[in-house]
Amino acid sequence: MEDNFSSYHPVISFFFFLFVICVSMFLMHPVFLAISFFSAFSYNLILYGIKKTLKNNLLFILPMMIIIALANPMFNHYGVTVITYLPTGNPVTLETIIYGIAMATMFCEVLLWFACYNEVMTSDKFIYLFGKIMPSISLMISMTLRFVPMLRNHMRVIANGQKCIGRDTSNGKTTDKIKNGVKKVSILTTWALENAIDRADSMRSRGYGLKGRTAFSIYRFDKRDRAILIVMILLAITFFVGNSTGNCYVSYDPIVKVKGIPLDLYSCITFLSYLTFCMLPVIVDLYDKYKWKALRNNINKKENRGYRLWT
Amino acid sequence: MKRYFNVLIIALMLFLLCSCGKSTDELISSKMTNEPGGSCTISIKCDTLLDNMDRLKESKRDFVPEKGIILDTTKVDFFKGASVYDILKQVCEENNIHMEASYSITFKSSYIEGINQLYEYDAGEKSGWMFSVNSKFPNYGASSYQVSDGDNIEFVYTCDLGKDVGDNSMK
Repeated sequence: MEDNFSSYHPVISFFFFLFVICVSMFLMHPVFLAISFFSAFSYNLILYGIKKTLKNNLLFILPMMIIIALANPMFNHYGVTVITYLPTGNPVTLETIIYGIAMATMFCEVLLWFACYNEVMTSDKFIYLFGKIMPSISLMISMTLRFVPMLRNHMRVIANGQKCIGRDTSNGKTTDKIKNGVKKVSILTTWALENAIDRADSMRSRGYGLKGRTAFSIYRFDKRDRAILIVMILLAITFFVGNSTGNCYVSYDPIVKVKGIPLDLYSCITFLSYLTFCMLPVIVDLYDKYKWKALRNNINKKENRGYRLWT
Repeated sequence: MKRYFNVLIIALMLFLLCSCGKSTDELISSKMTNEPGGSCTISIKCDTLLDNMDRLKESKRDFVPEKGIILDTTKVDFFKGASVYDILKQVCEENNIHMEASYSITFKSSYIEGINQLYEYDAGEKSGWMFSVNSKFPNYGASSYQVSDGDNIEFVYTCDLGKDVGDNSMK
């Protein structure tokens, strides 16, 4: 589903994801975690729809979260509130459990952001941004990002082909199954290597990365890009200044200490700026949809002479 | 194919998870028997931290007691074959003092990481817990030192590889 934020200039999308992913990787404050998780999830909803988002998250991210939250108290034992003792004599503490949950949330929200990044920052945008500065690296990155889905598709093709000539992995002796499986993987590897060389050759023959070569692009840095960039920079500065005052400090070791709750002026400003920044794509998209609807209603009111443009 | 691949990945992740932690199985097995083996005294102190408060992490400062004594000298009756680690564990559980230890495979002995939330490296890279028996610092782990009757065990926090608590074996 194409959302409005994706239609902005690639610099805007890249700056947004760079900031949001880098920052949410280091923030452990519960309010920040909640904000980032909520915004990432709602942006996922816009990009993928309810069904796909829930499917992706319940299948992979939720079990991962539970594993991380449970694993942390097994390996860390600091904290004042002892719940029980492990057979080794080390304590299981409430602090490590809380930290585990916070860490799991952080991990999860970064994955959610990356899911959005994949959808918004397509490889043509990436190449457009970095093709001039570092041609070979940006081509390699976009090729590697494409690798997993491409290999998965081609594996299916190979499997079908092998099935036709009777080298199937679904029946037969176990040794035969393994033999056929290995053959499939070897075919895939050969194909992948050849494909990569082919692609490199074809890019070279087109003069990719040569000096003075221009590339066609449909991106233009216009007024709304400038406006949103200014807003983003202002919000980012407010956030960094607010965060550096120490009013959003949190520590889990050895006592859970959370500053900024209840809200004071500084922490309120910091939280608000972070919330607005993370919600920017959602706000932009919802505003766009609202505007579209309002304009359509206007037309309907005006064209009230026996026929309607839209129903 | 896909299912096997998933199982493989999960197995790999579990393996990685397990290898992250230090092996702790050996912490449980001690050579303790059921016969009484006498009594010893034990104390836990961190008075070196009082002089190095500025180097200690800010979040840990509340955990240094006023005179640096976490546990005053206490008399403990122990079973035959008990190690210094066994006695520390027993004392900490009785007095509700937090303690964390891990088994180090290289030295085949348990290593005291932290007592009362004060951990190794909390006051600079030369800091951590050491123990002495009858004012001598044995140069091996707490679970490989067998306690004998009348021993005087002291756990001390050092901020300078033992030099500030009277051990000069590390140079």
